[in-house]
Formats: sequence, C-alpha cells, structure tokens
Amino acid sequence: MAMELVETIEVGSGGAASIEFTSIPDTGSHAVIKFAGRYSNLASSQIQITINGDTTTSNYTYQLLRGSSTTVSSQSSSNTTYGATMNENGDTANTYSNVELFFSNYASSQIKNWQMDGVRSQNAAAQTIHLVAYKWNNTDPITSIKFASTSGNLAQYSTASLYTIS
Amino acid sequence: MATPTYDLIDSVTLSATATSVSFTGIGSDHRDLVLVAQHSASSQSYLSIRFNDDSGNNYPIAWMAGVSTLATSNSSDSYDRLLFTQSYTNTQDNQWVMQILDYAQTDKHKGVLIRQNEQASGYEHTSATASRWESTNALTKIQIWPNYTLGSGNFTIGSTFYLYGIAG
Repeated sequence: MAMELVETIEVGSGGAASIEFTSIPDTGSHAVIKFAGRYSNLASSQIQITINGDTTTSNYTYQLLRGSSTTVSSQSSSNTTYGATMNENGDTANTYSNVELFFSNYASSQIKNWQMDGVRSQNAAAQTIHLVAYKWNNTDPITSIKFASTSGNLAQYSTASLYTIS
Repeated sequence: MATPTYDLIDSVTLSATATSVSFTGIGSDHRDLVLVAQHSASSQSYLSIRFNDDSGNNYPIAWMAGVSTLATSNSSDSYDRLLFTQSYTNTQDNQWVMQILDYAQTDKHKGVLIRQNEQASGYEHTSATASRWESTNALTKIQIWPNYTLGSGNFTIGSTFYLYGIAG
C-alpha cells in the first residue's frame, strides 16, 4: 500500500507529438501524473488531454483559475484542451512547466474527476499558475491518458511520470 | 532507500447514506496526513470538517476560487470548522484532497491545505483553501459532514474517503 511508479516517459530528440500512458493497471485507488512539459514552437499551444481515446470534446468539462502576473482570472469550458499556457520555445532555456494531475477513483465506475495544478515559470514577467478542475463524463475505468500539443510538438526532455496510490 | 509514502490508514466507501464520516483513533505513526474524497450529498450546502470534536473558533481560513468566469478570494479568522461548498448530485462530482501537516506534533498548530473541485452542472468551480487548526493537541479524529447544519444532510451512496499517512 503506497504510491508506486508505473512508468516514466521522456520525449526524445526532435520532440514528439504526444506522450501517452496505455494499459494503465487498475490496481490503484488513485492515479497521479507529474508532468514537466515544454512546447517546441512559439504558438502558445495548449495541452490536449485524451482519456481512453475519447476525442469527443463535449465529454470533457473544465473549470480553470489562473494567476498571471498581476491578473487573476477564471474560465470554464467543455473541451479536451487544458486551458493553460506552458513553457514554449523562446522562454528561458531549460524551463519546463511543472504540472501535477490527481485522478481520484480512476479505476472505478464513478464519473471521473481530476485536478491539475501547474506553473509556467521563466525569467520574464509572463509567469503563470493554474488550478484546474477537470471532468470526463464517463464511468469507464481510465486505461489510457494522452498528452498532446494543440499545435507542434512537445519538446525534447518533456517528461511525464505516472504513479498509482493504493 | 525510498521513503514510504501514502500509507493507507483507513478508507470508507458508503454503501448507505451517512450524515457524517469519521476517522477515529488516528495514530502518530506519520508526519503528515492526506485525505482524498470524492462524494455528493443530498443537498447543496457547505461541507464541514472538524478535528478532535473541536467546535471552537479555531479554524482560520483563506481561500481562492474560480467559478465560471469569476475569480474570487476571501479569508476569515473566526470559523468553528473547515468548510467549503459541495454539490448535491448523485454522481460524486465533488472531489478534494486535503493535506494536514505535522498532525501529531504537540509543539505547533496544524497547517491544512485543500484543493477542491466540483463539476456538478451549474455548480462548477475549483478552489484552494489554506487553514490552520489552532491546537497543539495531536490530531486523532477527523469528522466530515455534508452540510453546514450538522446532521441535517447525507452523503450519498458510493461516496469515497481515503486517509493516508505520509512518512516524515
């Protein structure tokens, strides 16, 4: 009974369109992903999160609270896209956004809710923190989680680690 | 050598409705506690949490929240419980994670951090709450009610509560 590492995925040379955990075991009560991500372009891309291959945007809703410089804002949407900025090409070198996702009861027959807390940090005024509530309106156990950029690639050395908590 | 973390102390999955959920007899075997909850309730109200049956004004709270397009925050030093809003659907749309730091230490007040998310249609919000239990007693009991008026509402069937210990 503990928090156990299931898998770590690191993006290799040249970047990658996505990171995906597949065949996630149902042996835990909760799942945690720690994600260090950066975009390889300057397009202010956003992260798309796809659960079990479900790309129907109306099956996802999120509520976002964001602090950016001196501005705090909130928004909600029905979308697979994480409504938050991440570090991108042009930001301070070697900076990767840190994001933690906590999925409670991920293998259960309940509707799936999770929280995502993340930060874009760099040596500039444009620094951002996000608190997000997310919902996948489905009772199936979560068996795969995919991160992708809405445009361009995830940069080399972007890393995601999946843990389960029993 | 890896440090043990997220040791499951106890868990509750409701097979019948309940007016409150309690974890009692919590030992001092860990440094911090983490409580993971996913639930719904019979009415929309404030979720209430007390430690060691303490009903004094010993729970100062500061919080911030995003509700639709509204970003808001507030604080008060006079609550007699931890509290935040929760939903009343039957789909366990209220999800939160509470950390209680140094819960067994008798030389300091107990820091509390809560990340809460609610996705019931029409009540969507996300929030972060910081609190402090103004007591130097070791924490041995956590009780959670689904309503501000204690005992007046129910947690629904299928609601889940997990209490973990974090080694220190």
